[in-house]
Amino acid sequence: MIDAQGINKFFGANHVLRDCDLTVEGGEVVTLLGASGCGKTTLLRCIAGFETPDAGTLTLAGQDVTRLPPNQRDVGFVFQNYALFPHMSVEENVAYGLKARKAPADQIKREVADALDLVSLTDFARRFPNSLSGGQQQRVALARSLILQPKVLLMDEAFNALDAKLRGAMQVELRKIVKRVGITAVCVTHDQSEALTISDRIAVMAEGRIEQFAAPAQIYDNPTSAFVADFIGAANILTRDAAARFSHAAKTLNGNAALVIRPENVMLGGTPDDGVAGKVVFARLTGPAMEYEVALADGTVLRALVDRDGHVPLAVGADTQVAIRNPDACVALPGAA
Amino acid sequence: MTEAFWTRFRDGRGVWPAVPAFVFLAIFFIAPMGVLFSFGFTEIERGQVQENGFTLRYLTDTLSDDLFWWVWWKSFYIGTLSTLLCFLLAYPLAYLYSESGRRMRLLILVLTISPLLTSAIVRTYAWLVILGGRRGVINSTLIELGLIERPFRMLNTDFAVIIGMTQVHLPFMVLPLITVLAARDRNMEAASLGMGASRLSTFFRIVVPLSMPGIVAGLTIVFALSYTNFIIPQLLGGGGFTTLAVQVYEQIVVILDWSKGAMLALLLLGSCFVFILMIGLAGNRVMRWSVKETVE
Repeated sequence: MIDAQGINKFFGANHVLRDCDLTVEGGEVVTLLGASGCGKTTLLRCIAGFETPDAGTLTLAGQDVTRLPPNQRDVGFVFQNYALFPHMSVEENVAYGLKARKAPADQIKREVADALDLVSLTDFARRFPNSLSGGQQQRVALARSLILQPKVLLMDEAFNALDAKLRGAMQVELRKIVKRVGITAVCVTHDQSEALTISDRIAVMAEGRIEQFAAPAQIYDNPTSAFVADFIGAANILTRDAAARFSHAAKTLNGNAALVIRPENVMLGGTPDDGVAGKVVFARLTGPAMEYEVALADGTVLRALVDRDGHVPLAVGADTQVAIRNPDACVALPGAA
Repeated sequence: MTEAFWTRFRDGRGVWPAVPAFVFLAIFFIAPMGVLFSFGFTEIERGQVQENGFTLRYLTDTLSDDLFWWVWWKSFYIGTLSTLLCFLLAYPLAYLYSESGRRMRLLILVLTISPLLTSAIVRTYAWLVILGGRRGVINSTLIELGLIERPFRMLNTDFAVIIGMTQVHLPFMVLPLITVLAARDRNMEAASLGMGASRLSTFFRIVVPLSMPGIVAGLTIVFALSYTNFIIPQLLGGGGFTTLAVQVYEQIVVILDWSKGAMLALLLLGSCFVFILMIGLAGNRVMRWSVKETVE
C-alpha cells in the first residue's frame, strides 16, 4: 500500500532522513518509533505530503505521489493537537471533508451519523470541540479522517495530549476501530508501550535512519542493535567481559561484542554456583512485579524484574545472587555496546 | 460571576492593584463626564446653572430635530464606510504579514507603525496638500499631464473625509489583525487542505472565522475612532461639513450652548457604545455559526 524507497530529507544542513525504506502492506498498522528529533515525524509528513523528500520515491497504492500535494494523495491525517476546527460543532467537523467534495446533503447526513457511531460520539454531535475531553477530541479527529475513506490513515503522536490513564484505553480503542475499518495506518510515537499496543509492525528510528522494522515481538525478542534493545523495554546491555561472568549466557555471546538481557530474564537469589554475587542498589514496586537494580562486583548494574508471586522482597543493600533465567532468550549484538 | 467579584472585592484579592488607575479615572474622567452629561439635563443661562433647572427639553428637542438625525446619519455612514475600507485594506496586508519572512514582516510593521509617530493633525494637513484644489498634488499633476483641464473637486467632500480617516486609522486595524493571523495554528489549514478543501475555501471557512477576535477588535477600535473624530471632518470636509462630533465642538466652543452640546455628546457616546456592542455580538455569532448550513 505504501512503498517508500531511499527517502532523504534535509532541513538546511541538517540531514533529517537518511535512506529510509518503508513498505507497508494493505490493512497493516505500522508505527514509527523513536526519540524526539529522530526524523519520525518528518517521514510521516513526507508520506502525508506536507514535506517533499529531497531524494527517494514514495508510492501509494501503486501511484507515484512523491511530488503530489497532500490534498491529491487520498490520505487522512490526525494531528498531534487534532487540529479540530473550534468554530464548528462535532458533526460540522466530521462533515467538513465531504462538504469540500460537494457530496449530496443526504449522503453527508448518513455518513456523518455512521462515522460518529463508529467512534461512539453520536450524543456529542452538536457539541463544540472545546467542550469535549481529550479522548473525545481524538475520536472526532479520527472520525473526520475516516469518513473520507482514505487509502492510508496517518497519525502524529495522537496520544500525547491525553493523560496516562486515558492514553492506554484510547490506544486499545484506536487499534479496535482501525482494525474494524481495515484501513492501512502509519502512526508516530516516542512511547514504546503505545507502539507495542497499536502496531502490527514497528519501525524503530534513530538519527534519521530506520534501525529495525519488524513485528513487535520480533523487535522485543530479537533487537538488531543496542539502540533498539534499549529503546524497547529498557534492556540490560552487557559488554563481552561483563557477560562472560554468566557461564550459560557466554555461549550465546559466541564472539560478539555485547549481550542483551531483558530485566524479566534476570533471576535473583539463586544458589552461589549458578550465579554471580551482587548487591541491591535500588528497589521499587511496579505493581505485579518488583524492579531492582543490582550492582555486580565490577560495577556493572543490572536491572531485574521479579514476579512478586512467592518472592520475598529484597531491601536496598542486600546481597544476592544474580543469574540468567533463560540464556537462549539473550540476544548477542555484534557492535560495541 | 458578580458574586465572585464581590467576594473578591471584600477579600481585597486582585482589586488593590487597580485602585490607582480607578481613582485617577474617577477623578479626571468619570466625574467630569458626569458633570458634562448632567448639563444636558439642566437649564443654564449665562453660565449659571438655574435652580430646579432639571429638564428633558434638550433630549426631546434633539431627538425630534430632523437636522440632528441628518447629522447623525452623516457620522454613521462616514464612520462605517471608512471602517469597512480600513478592514478591506488591512486584512490582506495582515495576511501578507503572517505569510511573510522576517524581513518582509519588519517592513510591514515599520510602514504600519511609522505614521503613528506623527500627529494625526499633521497627517490630515498633508491630505490638504494632496487633495487640494488647483495647486493640490493630484490635480496639478493631472493638469500638467494634460489629462484634465479643470481641477477635480476632492477637498471638502465625503470622499476626502473617508480617505483621510481611513489613512489615519489604518494602523489600528492592521495591528490586531496581525496579532491573530501571525499566531494562528497552521495545522488548521493543513487539516482543511488535507480533507480536500481548496485554498480559497480554506481561507474563507477556516482562516477568516478563526481571526474573528482580531476582526472584532479592529472594527471596534476603528469605528469608535472614526465615528467620533472631529478633526478630520473639520479640516477635510470644509466649513459646511458637519458630523455629530463637529456639532458637539461647535455647540460648546463656538455657540456656547453647553446643554445642547452635552446632550449631543451623550447621544454620540451612547450610540457609539451601542454600535460597539453590536459589532461584538455579531462577531460572536459569526464565530459560532460561520458554517451553520450543515447536516440539520
